[in-house]
Amino acid sequence: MPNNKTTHFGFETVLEDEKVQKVAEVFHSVAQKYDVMNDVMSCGMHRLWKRFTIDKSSVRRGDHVLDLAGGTGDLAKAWAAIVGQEGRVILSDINPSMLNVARDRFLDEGIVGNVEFVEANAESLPFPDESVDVVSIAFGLRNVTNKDKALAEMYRVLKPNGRALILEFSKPTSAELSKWYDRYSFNLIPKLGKWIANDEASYRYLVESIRMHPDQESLKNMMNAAGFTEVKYDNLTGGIVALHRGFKS
Amino acid sequence: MIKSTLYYALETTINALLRRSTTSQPLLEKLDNAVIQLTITDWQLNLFWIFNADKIRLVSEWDHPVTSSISGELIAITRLGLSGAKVAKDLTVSGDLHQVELFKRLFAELHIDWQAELTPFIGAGKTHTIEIELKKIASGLRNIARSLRESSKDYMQEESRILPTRFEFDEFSQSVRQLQRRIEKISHPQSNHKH
Repeated sequence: MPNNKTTHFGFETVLEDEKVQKVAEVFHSVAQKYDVMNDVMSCGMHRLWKRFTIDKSSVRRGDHVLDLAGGTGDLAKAWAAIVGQEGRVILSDINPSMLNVARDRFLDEGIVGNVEFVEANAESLPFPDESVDVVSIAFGLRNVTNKDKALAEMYRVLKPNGRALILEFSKPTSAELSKWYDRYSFNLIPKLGKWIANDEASYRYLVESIRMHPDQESLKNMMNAAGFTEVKYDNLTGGIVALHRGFKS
Repeated sequence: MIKSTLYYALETTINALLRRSTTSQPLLEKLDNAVIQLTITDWQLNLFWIFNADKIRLVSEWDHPVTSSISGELIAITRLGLSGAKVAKDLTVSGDLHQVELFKRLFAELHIDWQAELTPFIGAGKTHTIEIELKKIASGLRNIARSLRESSKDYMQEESRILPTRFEFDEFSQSVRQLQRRIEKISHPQSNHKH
């Protein structure tokens, strides 16, 4: 039976079944320039946001960490250094192009032994129940078609007392900042995508997808509904980005 | 976010210093797996030191048990790193006390061969010249400090000699007041007659 449910792809409405393919096309296109574009678009701030996530993570040596929508592996690289050879990091992404970039990067930097690369859909994870200590997802949740399913899967694979870390674009807390942020996002970022990555449309999607993502409180409620406890969030850079944390009791 | 960035900068600096210190490695090995919570009470700052084989990690939050904790004001915690200083009475310490002692020694006994570090960049000759000049400056500063200490002692002794005592000052004040009253009596003779 065909699925006629619709969802958003940026500001466009598409069938749910189409979204995965459309998102895949975006990331196939941007994979090679992904890291340099992150630095350019965020003026390097993405590194501080990820550093904040690491600071709040309580990841320790020997932990098993699952990094979802891990992309080119910024967070996974940090987790690998922390968990050591006694631990394990799974860098998972639905997009093989992004995983290939990550794999090459890790090889170039000599990060071997405790990292696995797994192509997987966050809505249907191929990992056993209660198998990881920490699940992280940075700037990936907004691209997932069914976020509730992804949150449920994150909860399922976590061990008791395990924690989820969701770093994602969110809603600025002030109207003035929101105004400037919109101008920057809609006017400049697609242009940067065109000049640097030769792909204006993909970066327009990325900007639009941020606006369609749940705000801080909505995501917190979704995490609570998925079973997470002690859910809290930190606003970064005036709420442009938020880090949500929740525990599995 | 600024805090986590600063902690990371501090962590990077400390690890760089520890790598260069000839005395750190054995202490780091003994501290492997330790987690020390450092609380700076007057700044309301919590800093978790996580020891991992040959380096440390600094974070502002830690959800797992710590092996020891130290809390106190900034100045007391800074003194902790001074060579020879015992763990101060104005610090609250709990958990594995041996770890706290090793932690203190890690910084108090930091020894970096700066000549070996600089030589590859500027050459042995210039490094040696810089070392001599720095020693001269350090010696000069020590002489200035000693001279100030001695001068201030002499100054205080001379001041205490010429300054009046409290009794002398009170007597003097009373004399001034008496003189003032006499002057008022002389300058207003009519008011004196009426009364």
